[in-house]
Amino acid sequence: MALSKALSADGQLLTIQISGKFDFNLVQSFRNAYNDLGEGKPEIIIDLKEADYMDSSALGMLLNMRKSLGDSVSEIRIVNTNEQLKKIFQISRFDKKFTIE
Amino acid sequence: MAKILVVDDLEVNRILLSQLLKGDGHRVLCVNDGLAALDALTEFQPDLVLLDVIMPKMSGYEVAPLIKSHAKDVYLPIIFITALEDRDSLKRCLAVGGDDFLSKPFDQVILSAKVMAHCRTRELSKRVVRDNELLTYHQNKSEREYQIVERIFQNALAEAGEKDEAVAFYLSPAASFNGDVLFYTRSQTGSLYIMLGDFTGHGLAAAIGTLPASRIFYAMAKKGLAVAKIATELNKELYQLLPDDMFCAASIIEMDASGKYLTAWLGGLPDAYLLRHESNDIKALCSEHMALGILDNIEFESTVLTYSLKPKDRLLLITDGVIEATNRFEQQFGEERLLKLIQNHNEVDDIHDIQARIVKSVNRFANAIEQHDDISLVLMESKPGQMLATDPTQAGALPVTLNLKLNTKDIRQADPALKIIEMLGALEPVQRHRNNLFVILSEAYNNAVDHGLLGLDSGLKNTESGFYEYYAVRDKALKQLTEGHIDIEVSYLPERHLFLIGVSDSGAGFEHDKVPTFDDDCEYGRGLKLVNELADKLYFNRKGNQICIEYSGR
Repeated sequence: MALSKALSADGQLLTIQISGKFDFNLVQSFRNAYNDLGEGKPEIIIDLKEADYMDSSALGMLLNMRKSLGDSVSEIRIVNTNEQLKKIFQISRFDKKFTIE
Repeated sequence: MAKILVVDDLEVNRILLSQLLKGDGHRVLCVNDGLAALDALTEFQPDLVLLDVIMPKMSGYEVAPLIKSHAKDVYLPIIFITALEDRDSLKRCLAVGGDDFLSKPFDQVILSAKVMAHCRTRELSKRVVRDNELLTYHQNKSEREYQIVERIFQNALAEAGEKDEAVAFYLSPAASFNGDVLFYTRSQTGSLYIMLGDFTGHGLAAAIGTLPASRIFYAMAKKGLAVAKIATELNKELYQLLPDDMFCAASIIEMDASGKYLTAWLGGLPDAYLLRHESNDIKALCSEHMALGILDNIEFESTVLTYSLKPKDRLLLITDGVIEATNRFEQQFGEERLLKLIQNHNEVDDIHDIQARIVKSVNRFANAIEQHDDISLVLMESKPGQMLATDPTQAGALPVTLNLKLNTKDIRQADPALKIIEMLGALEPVQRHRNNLFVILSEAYNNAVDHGLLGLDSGLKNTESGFYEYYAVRDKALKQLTEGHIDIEVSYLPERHLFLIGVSDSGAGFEHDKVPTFDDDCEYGRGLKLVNELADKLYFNRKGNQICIEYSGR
């Protein structure tokens, strides 16, 4: 269970990588990861390549992020979702609210 | 002391020479004609032959070349015994293989000196032959070993054989292994991983590190692990394995399955180039780390660069062989020539054409002196990949039931959903459905804790700050929990391909007329909605403190 973030050299891409279990244990660190974005309107990538598990609290955290960031980001993408996680996004209709790849 | 063969038909000469030589401490064998001399060669193994010219049966002229050929590669000096005045016969003596003359009447000092000088030369010659033999032996041995290693090496790299239409590359043939390696593969989720590496040195020594490197790369890339992790692991292994003066400059790249994101760890290779299709720009990506195998685990930096890609954006990776290729004027190919070659990259449709153009140009530049085989380069193009299909597998055969009774202490500390998945992990269907099972267990359990035992109100989650407050309240309430328990039962019925999951708590229960669905526009209760969608059946007991779920994954 871990979270790491990296801002691209040009400040246009914030990547948040989650590995292991994506659930409410990450509530605080996930919130901190997008707290100070600056004025650059970056794109946010949630990289789930190493995330094995995800439950509804993760969905809540993602929704909250979108609510709180609003227009201060250009786009939020959820990438490298394995098929099982993709299904969770689908049945919770998240594919209508986020770009999921 | 040497063994000296005296060949003379005159007994007086034989006796005289024999005495003189024995006086110097040599061993002497005397024969009286050429034929007898040949017979004596094998048995006596002389170090020097004193040879008369005119003899019955076989003359000195005839026997000299035969003696020489018998000696093969080792120098066997032949000193002709002759009279000084005859210049023609002197010339002939040398022509048939003679090395020196001894004139009659014999002078003891000159004889001793000449014998000594020629024996010294023979010793030298013997040593050269011995050294040559040793050298040949080692050469054969190392060639054989090289063949073995090359075989292993090729087998290890054979995995890279699958063609990938997003990749074009040129790599020097393995037969003249120059330390350059290229690995690439797709992960289960379709990400493309590439590693171009340049080991210090050439040949066998440089090849050694490639074996563990390829093993680690392929194992980790196939699993779809992060570039930073792969770099760290490779560095750890090479640091441990390689001597201090050996390392591997490398670029490790990942392009995600959509072809839209690029992650790069660059350590020690020349600049990589990102070729933007739309703008026709070229962006140099400078190596920001030391090569693999130099720094220990603590000092090693695994930070990566990330870029977003658009269709037909390309990445060019090269080893130093490309820009350091040298022509006969001692000029290097250099980055400028390379940049000129790729300046109109977006007019080239196929990355293979760019690759061929660079290889051809570098070879033409350097060809004047020698065939260059040090060029290694790889081009990657942004293209979405395909998910690799997972094998359809059979269900496990035995029914399994797992019962957990958690008391307050367990509930405060445990996080049972994942533990249960791990306990049941040996069952193949668990592997295939592990996230769905995790969601079901996690939601059912958290529901029991949050609402059954702690009596929390999900309505809190409706606002952004409330969402975080909810988890803070939960945390606090959990710490103060003094009574209550939760029972979990998970069964797997293989003949029905069915998981039965029951979670009950010691709480008062709650209203459960209706399980919400995603069509309701409510911001909470998402967990049960998820479970309801995933499960075949979901029901509560009357009291509302027990939830039962049937899940088949169909």
